[in-house]
Amino acid sequence: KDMSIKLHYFPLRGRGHPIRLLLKHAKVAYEEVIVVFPDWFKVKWEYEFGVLPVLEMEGKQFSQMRAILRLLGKRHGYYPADEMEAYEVDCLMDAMDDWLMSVAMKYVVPKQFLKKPKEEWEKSLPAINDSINKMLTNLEGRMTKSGSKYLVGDKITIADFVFLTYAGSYTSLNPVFNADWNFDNFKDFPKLKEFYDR
Amino acid sequence: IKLHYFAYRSRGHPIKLLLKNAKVPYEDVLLEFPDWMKGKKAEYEFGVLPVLEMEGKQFSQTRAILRLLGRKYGYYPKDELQAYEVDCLMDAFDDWLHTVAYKYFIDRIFQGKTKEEVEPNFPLVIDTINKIIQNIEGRLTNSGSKYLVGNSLTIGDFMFHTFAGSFTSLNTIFNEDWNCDNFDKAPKTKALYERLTEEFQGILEEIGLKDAIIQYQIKQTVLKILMKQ
Repeated sequence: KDMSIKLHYFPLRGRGHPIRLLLKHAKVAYEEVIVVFPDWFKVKWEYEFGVLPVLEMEGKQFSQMRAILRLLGKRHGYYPADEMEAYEVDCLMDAMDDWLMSVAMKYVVPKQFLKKPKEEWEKSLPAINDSINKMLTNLEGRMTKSGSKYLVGDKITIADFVFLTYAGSYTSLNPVFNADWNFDNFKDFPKLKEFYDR
Repeated sequence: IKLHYFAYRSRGHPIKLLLKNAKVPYEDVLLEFPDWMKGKKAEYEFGVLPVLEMEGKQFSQTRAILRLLGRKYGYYPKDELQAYEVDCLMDAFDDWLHTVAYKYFIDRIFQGKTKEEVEPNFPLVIDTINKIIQNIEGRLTNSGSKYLVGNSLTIGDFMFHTFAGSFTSLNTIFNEDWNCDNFDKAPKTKALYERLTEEFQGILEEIGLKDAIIQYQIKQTVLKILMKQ
């Protein structure tokens, strides 16, 4: 039986990337199984819950990005043992995912994939901007208060992998869609910018 | 301890089930949508509910809260693979909630769209639900466990009961819209749901369900009566 590790995901950053970052950082060998969009509906229901990413490991399917990150995090030292720090990591990952979902569902999908007219997604932009601002303010506040180099605690956690992914997607979206929204990459968030650059 | 949420089941409910099960006293802070939209939202850390006020601080995100309380009160597995199972299923339930909310509930109930307008989404919604139920059925069959994961109550059970409850009441009320089997092809899942309902009976009565669905149904009934007059 094939016991190698395989990550099944689309050719994007999205929800697969934090897992890639962890595996690479931990120097764990794995293989990418890229599912291209035209094939997706043909293979969707072969997957446990009909969603990606899926990690194939020990001959089984593991689903749900955060559940996978938590398991790998525990095994490779990227998830805090302290319950309050663990809560912080969990909470931030969920909040960042909320943000990703709202940007995806209210802006990227209608604009890029469904090619809907501007009027339909335009009204979501103020709310998206607000939630991004709120998120970044929150993260900036935490880092300022803790003085830590990482989002939670003193070493890299799965929350950092998620943040790097989303910040990366976000900063690459920004110049492309600058016509639509006006948001400076971390202009007001020096600590976050420093963290991200690092 | 105060739990801030709206007056319906959804994301606040699993936390209530946990606190009541653990016999931890708490207070409900109920918010109404109009107040929420008018500015209450900004008072909360991430602008989302539920929020648990505890030890003078705000705790956000349902599953993060459930995990924290679960560790504290013994509802979260110590074994990392069992913990993964719980995490994975909770995320799947939340995906389902998201799908039903954004592709059906909000459009149909809050934005008043017609059945024809939401119908194109049905296959995806129903397929997603069925896949999750099949998955649970498979896990329960393989493990032979008494609860969702393992042989004692976990936060996975609290979330499952919430999800299953919403689903069965949606199914009954909107049966005219879609035709989805209530766990008819998933006997073990159905048995788990019924067993949990029995176990939680006293607690459910204490919590008292001011379900948005029930409110909607009442509103529709009233509207129908008014229109006939």
